Amino acid sequence: MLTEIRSRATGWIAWFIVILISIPFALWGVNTYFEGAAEINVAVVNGEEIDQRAYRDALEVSRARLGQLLGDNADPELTNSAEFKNNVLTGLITQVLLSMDADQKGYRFSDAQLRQFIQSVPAFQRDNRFASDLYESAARSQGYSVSDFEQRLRRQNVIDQIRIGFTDTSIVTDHTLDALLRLALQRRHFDYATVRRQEFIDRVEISEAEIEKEYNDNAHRYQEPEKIKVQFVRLAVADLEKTIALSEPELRQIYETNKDRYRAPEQRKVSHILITVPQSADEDRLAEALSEASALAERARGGEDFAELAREHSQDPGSAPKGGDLGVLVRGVMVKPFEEAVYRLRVGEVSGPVKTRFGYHVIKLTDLVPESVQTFEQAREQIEREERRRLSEAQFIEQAETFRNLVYEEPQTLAPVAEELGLSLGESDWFSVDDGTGIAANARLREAAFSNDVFIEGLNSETVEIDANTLVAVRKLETQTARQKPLDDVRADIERTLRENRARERARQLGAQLLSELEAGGDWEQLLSNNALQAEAVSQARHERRAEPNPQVVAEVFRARPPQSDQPVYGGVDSGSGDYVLFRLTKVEDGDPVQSDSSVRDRFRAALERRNGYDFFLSYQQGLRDQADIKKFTEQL
Amino acid sequence: MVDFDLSEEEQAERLKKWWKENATSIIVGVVIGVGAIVGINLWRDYQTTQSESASGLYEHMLSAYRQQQPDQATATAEQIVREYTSSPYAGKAGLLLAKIHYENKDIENTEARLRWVIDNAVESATAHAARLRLGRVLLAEGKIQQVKNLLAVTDYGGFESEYKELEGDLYFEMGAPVSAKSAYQRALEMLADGSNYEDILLMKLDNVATEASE
Repeated sequence: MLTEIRSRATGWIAWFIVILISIPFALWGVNTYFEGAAEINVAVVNGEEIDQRAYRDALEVSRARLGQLLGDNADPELTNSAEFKNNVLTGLITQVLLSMDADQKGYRFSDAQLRQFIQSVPAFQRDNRFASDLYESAARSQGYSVSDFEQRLRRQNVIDQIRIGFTDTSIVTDHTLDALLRLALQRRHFDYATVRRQEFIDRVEISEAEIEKEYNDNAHRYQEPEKIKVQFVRLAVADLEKTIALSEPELRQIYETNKDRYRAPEQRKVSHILITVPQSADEDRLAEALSEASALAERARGGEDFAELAREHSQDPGSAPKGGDLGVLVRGVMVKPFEEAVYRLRVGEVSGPVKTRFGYHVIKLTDLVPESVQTFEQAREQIEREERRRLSEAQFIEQAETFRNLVYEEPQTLAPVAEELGLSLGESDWFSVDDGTGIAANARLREAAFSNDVFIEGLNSETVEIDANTLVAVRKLETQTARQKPLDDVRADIERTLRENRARERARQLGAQLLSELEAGGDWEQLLSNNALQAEAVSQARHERRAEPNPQVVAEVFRARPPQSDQPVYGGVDSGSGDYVLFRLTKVEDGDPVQSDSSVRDRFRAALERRNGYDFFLSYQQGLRDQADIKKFTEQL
Repeated sequence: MVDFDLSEEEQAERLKKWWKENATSIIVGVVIGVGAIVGINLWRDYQTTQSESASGLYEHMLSAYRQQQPDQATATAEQIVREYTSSPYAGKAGLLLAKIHYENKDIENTEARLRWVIDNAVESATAHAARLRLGRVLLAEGKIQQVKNLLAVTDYGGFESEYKELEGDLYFEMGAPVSAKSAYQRALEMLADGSNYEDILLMKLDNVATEASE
């Protein structure tokens, strides 16, 4: 059929066919047929794909933000957790949904609005004017082309419109605020007494039979986890550094070619007093300024404090408050006559008036640190260290590929990789999946060692990146199944645990007994003193959330039924640490919204504003997620 | 229509004949098609222009309100509501109008405006916001039955926590702590991620905890 078409279809028929075929290309462009290879998706939201690159970018941003927030406390494992990653993905999905919904509902941000917005951002301004180069470099530094960046800003502005539409329109009624204040400022008066577990700890008996029973009944608690001992091979910059030998001539060569780095230029620290003269000044004005400057120079030379004079008389607003100090002078920055004068001065000397286009300067050289050049011997150590580092990093990058390949291609042994790269094979101590020392201190490595391939099959592990400068691969040497610890090893632990539990139980029993006596009409003071318990009185408001006597007790007191007609209400609660706390609630006073401290009122008003505004924005997003067709590919995270 | 067994002249002949028979309908079809495409594009352009105008007014309204010029904000908001009723900006402008009325202690117009948003907002989320705010205003007025009516929604659209809290407050004021408790519990369960409101809901829940258990 096709050959027939080719032989017959000549002349205008051929053209007709060609035109027919070319129509779709003309309309839709040839590029849609040749789009690049598809990225791996992490989610599909209402048909729109979120690829791995977008996810990784978002993950980086979230990690950086958390790092800023927590500083050194940031736990790297936290940002690797499935929960963290899932949150990042949900955030990304929400962004996509917000944009889609905004677009569909008819939110728009015009080019003119966008232009106005961009020009108003302080970060894109220099000297209070929009600077397009700052804008463009801001876009690039975030990894976007200018048009992508614009698209993002447009989207963000539209979403802000929606958000502000909720937050800035919130209505907080006094009725709602007062009701909340009555509750939050509600004050409860109570006494409490603690029945301590410690009181019973030496009074309870634990028999051998009980210990054995616990040992047998809960055998899984007294197990040593399964362990592994591995052989490992490591490629590390730190190890490579030790193997690099640098000869004297090499080091000297580096020193010679980079000599400037080992030279600290001369530093001249100067102060000045400026008497300004306008460019258009006439002879008289000039003469007047000159005599003023001369007089000041004389006074400074006569022993008056230069800084004091500068503060009082200098007309340079930048330096006058600092006693005329201009800091360290860099050659070529100051105007010529000024610079020349500076280089003629000795330390402590004050110049006569120097004329520049700014006016007359009186200059003092306050400090001079001469140029210093580190000799090769002085710089040697630093040069060697840096060069060693540079070479070993280069070598590391070069060998990393080979390392990964050989570990993967020869799964039955680590010898080839060690031999090829001249690495030695090491042996670890025993370690479990949760705990280890040496190379096994790294959680990812432990995970790899306990993977099916290594632990069961006895193959090489995958290459584990301990950090950016260290790669490790391991294989099994020996394994140890989980085993029961002998009773003798754990007897003391079991005894202590049982004793503590028993004492806790006794404290609880006594507490419960006292509580029922109190509820039956027993006298609080009498009962406490009979049992050598001390009561303490507390009064606090619901919103104060103080931890006295402890959070569980406070929570329980505020959950308790308010007392009726002077009849106190009793309660008791396990404090969480094994003690039992009895309390007597004597009085509940509702908060008075009128009398309330205005700062408290403002705080709760702000909380309600947020509930009525920002929470609506959050709920709106929740609604979008509920309705959307979302497919997550969590295995790609 | 192209038969490769025929000679070129015959084919040309056939094609001419076919063209004669179908020319009118083809031309009409093409004209209608092109017309529709042009029309849709014009309509879209018009829509975009409309949306962008509404967006510009909306920004103007927000900044006027933030700069404490409520009269200016009111005038702009009313223009959006009047001229761009079918845009999402109208609902949001309505919410701001209601707030300004409320700040002026004009409860009647606050209610009327919120009801207008409930009935006219193109976005359900905006309507939910108006409904919940109206609920609070009516609760302050003691209009219990009207609040109950507002709470009777079938689709919470993500706002269940807010609805349940309002329900809990209503029951609490009516002296029905058992119902209040379960409403607050649900409000707590459905609280949106990222909200700071958990502590206050817990306070409300604690306050009805034992009363409910009796």
